[in-house]
Amino acid sequence: MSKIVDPKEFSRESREPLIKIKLEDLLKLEGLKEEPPIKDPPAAWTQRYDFTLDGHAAVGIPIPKNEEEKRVLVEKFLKGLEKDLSYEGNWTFAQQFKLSLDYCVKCGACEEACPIYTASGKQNIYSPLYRSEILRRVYRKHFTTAGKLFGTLVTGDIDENWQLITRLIELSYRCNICRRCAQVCPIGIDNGLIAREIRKIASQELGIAPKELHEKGTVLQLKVGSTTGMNPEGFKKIVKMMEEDIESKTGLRIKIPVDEKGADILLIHNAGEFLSWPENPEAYAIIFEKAGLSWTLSSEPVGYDSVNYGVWYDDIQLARIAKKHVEIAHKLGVKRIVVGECGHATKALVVTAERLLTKENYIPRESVIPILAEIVDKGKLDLDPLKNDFPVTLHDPCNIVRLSGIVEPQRKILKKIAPRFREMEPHGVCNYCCGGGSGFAIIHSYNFDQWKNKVASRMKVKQILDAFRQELNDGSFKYVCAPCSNCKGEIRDFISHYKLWDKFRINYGGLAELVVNAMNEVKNPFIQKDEFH
Amino acid sequence: MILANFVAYAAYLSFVFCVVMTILKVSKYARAPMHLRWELYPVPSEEEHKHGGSYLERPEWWKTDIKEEKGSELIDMLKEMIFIKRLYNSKRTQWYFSFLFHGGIYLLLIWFVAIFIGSLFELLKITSGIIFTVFFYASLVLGYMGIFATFIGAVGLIALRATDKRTNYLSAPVDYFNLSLISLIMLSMVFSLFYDPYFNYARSFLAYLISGNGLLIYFKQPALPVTSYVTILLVCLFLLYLPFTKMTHFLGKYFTYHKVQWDSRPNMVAGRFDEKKSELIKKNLEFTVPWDAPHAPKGKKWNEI
Repeated sequence: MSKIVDPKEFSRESREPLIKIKLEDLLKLEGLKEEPPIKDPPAAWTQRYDFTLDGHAAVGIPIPKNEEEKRVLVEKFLKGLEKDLSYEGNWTFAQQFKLSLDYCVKCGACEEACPIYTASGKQNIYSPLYRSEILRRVYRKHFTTAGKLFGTLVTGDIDENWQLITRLIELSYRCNICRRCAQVCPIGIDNGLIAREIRKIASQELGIAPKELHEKGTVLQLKVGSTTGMNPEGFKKIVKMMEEDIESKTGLRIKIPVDEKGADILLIHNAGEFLSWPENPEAYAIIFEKAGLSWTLSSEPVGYDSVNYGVWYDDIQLARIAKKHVEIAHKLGVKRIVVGECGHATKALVVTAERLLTKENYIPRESVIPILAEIVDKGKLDLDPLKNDFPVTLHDPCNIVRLSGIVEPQRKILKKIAPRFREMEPHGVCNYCCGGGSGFAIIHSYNFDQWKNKVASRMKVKQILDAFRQELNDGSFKYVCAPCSNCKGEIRDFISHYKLWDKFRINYGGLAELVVNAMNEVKNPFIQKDEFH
Repeated sequence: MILANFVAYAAYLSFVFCVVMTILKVSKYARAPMHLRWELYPVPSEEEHKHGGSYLERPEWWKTDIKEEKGSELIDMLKEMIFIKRLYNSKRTQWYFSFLFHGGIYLLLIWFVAIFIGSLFELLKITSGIIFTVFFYASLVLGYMGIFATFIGAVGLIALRATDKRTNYLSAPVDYFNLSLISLIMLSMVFSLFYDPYFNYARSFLAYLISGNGLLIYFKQPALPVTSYVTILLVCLFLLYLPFTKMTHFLGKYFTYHKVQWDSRPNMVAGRFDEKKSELIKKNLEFTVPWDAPHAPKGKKWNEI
């Protein structure tokens, strides 16, 4: 059993981390004989930034220089918590936040459900219960009558100094917000939401967030048009390149519609697809054209990037981006917005944003996956499943399945077009996160990549190795189908880290690529079996 | 006589206090603004719930009729309430004691109903007949089973909390106190059984309370054994304490399930927009942003950000 860190120790002022990740403690990966070692962070980082949680940093909070800075940090956090408990400050989530703070009975049912806790070798600081309990103690001490009257008898020991605050914020980025913990909680407590609320307090009150989410994320998206930094001109050039690419790959001449006013569908992809996996938007262009849909892309800033990182850390940014997506759709006069293969974007725009829209500015929004399933199901494409005669497994993005309830359409497609499809275990709404959830896939600061590859993604690596167990070492091409841009980003990272392509020829990609690969009209293979990217 | 009256008034007061404070607590949650959607699948009221799916699996879902399967929601709710299904699936050892504990409390609640009806018989001077006999024996079975199940469950949960190294360091004294208080009440009830094995005193005392201490309907004040007085006073204490604790999670659970995890109803169904929802959203967007970070539009309304 790994070392137990008592909540009292959480506020211990020290330059030493509370725990150290060791390979021997981590979940065993059967089939994998070796993996890269774990390196300590360089002193240049640890002297300036707080690495005292676990020797890693996603946020990298600067160490306060003096007592005044320490005091301000604590005060602001408490002020932020107060606002987050108020309906004015947090009408968006206060009800579920308060319920989750008030009613946990600490049964620990959530712990085993958490892939990070389990994969870490049960390091208690990663348990959903532990993280929430730290915040609950601060909450009870400062914001409940019982806590004020009876002190530690009710709250448990807690000392909310600067070190506790910096560690707690960093710890909120050790949770994928996959909400598997909430799914098993007998009371319905949502410790994933608590992690998000800690992030929100840090962002909305203290102005602290990983730069990939905020500065280079939502702020850049609202300013330039995309978190990738792509501006409208750049986007239009990429569309041209995609048209050429489609022709050279498939021989099909497709005109990708951009800014077509009055089209039925505004299709918004995660802009990361255009840069890293253009074959996915290309596949949709082919499929939508062949299926005869009336659709368009938008070249308006934000209109060509479906991402909404606000859903992971900040309600203000969440609302701003969702509002922008809706405004662009109205301007184009489309009847509906369709979100491409991107889990968090689907969750943010299709589900969460629903209650930001009034009758006056409402526009229907949906995921592209059911549309794709309908096209395949109704036989609108001439498909030969034998063209996909290689082992395929499906990764279920949490935001698509557990958080949006889109479970069967992707399976219907795969059962029709991939004869060697097999499920991972567990799957569907009980799936495990890829490890990239809640922004991890795009956070590469400091040594965070090491932590997420070793811990956050470990359970998914195990699931993939298990799914391909029969053919693992036979040298055959294997495909992890991940209908989500962030999941693909994470899977790409861990395939590289564990050398799964070199060792086992495990590759990954989206859902639409498999469909196009099965099209008889497309003569050359659309999925390249000899390259990993 | 003085003690008996004190206990009777304490019973009235604590009961009313508990009910009022609980209503206030519930209304605090119920008055919360409509939050953003944050459901978690499977949502049992949805037609696609058997495979964990939702109406979002349908192309152009807003044009379809999204039915709410209330029966299915009720079944899932009952499975969770009665059998604590989630705990059964995720933490079996804890479940054995938790099930005994909660099951015992449910039995005691039904026992109370049986005792209440028995006390009405007493007020009406009915001392025989089939219905009388059924309730008499039902109260015996329910009472004995309830007391022992709750007691064993509570003690077991205390033991687990104290010995489970993975979670015990997170328990505060209050977590032990809550379970200990219930154990103590059950222990006191066990002692009461020696003097009141058929719950005759319990029925008489309740009849006395219903009679308004004999003022509304004539009913002679019963002289209870000391153990019964102790039990009643402990229950009174419990009722005064309960609304302030997380032991009211039976109420919290209504909100976490129905108002959060299972609240997936969209604004538009079968092409029709829910006007009421639109008004609630507009109301929410009128809130002023109080946040202080540089990017936060402090002082602006949500519909202006």
